[in-house]
Amino acid sequence: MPQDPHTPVSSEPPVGLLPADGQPVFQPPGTGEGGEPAPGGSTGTEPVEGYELPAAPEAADAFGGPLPDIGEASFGPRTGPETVHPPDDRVQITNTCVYPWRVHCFLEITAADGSAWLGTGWFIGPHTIATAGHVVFIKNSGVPGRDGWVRSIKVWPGRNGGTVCYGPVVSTNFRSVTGWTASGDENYDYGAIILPTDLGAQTGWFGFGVWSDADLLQVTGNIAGYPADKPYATLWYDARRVDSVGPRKVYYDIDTFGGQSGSSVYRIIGNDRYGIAVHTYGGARVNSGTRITTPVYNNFVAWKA
Amino acid sequence: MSTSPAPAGVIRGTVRDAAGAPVAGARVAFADGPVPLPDVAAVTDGEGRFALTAPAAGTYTLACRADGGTATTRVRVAAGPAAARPEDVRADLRLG
Repeated sequence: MPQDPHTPVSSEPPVGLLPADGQPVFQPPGTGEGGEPAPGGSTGTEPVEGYELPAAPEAADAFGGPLPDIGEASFGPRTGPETVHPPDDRVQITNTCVYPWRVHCFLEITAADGSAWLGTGWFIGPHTIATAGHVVFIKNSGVPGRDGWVRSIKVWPGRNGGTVCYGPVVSTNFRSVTGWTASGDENYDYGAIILPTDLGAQTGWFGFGVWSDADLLQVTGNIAGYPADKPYATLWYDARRVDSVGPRKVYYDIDTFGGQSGSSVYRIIGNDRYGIAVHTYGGARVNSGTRITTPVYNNFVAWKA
Repeated sequence: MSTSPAPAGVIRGTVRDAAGAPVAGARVAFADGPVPLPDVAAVTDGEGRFALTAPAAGTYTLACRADGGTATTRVRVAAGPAAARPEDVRADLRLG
């Protein structure tokens, strides 16, 4: 039903997206079976050999540096070309059979029309993998027979090229929300894959949580996923400070490429990893993901049950 | 809640190797475009074919990778009348 254009709105933040008391709410991670998980690095990044977090630009007061276009206030940072922003400092992860890397899943997707696609997902529980809504449900493709729930997804946790750590497991059981499946609104572009087995009990999973704007703006975002511009089914990692946040989106200059939709955008607290967003789109200056707000959190909790 | 509009076009193409033979299993994705784009990658079928959705008018760069090499190409999707069937645009790639 179309919304009445006279529906009143307010300058107050949308109600119900963040915890009313401002305190973070989160689900804990699980590290799976065998071995000690790799500790988190001191800069909020993974301690990956060959990777160093670039120095942050010097802070300036509100009018002390180059000013963004006012349009960014409404539409988010400038968007458009190039999801890999120079310098491309992605590094390949090869020890993918250990936690935390085995949490990330290479996805081979068969759409309703039989076409084949690649994406990424991440375990949030023993049998549940979080991913983008457009990975599990294709919307407005313009191709006859393609739109709708995908036919199946073959899930390869921690795959490294020809090295298979777990699986594969094929799923035909998916979740998303009407904001995506009915409206195709990128603010609601998230979903989940339900596995017929508890493979996540072996691989482990990431926690996830809801944090305030102020908290997220201090966070280093980490992404590992399976970009299609690299050798087939290889896992690549990058990290950066979160650039900006919207009510339902998180923006970051973490390099990604096609095939990484559905990746976890995660923070590290001590040795624990927590998803803060689901990576979905590539843009000009920054890339973006669907923020884990209270409604997203509640759905993830329900879907991992 | 905003509803996404119909796409401006569908970019269809074929990936071929240096000898001109179609390449199955090549990965094709957007490397550049006029609007934020979903970070998925298409995999070519047995005849090397793919079809990517262009959500808005503008110039797109497609990047392709397969065992036989890489390729990129640029294609322009024109603005069409609203609610019209999306235009099919050709974008073939030759691995080098």
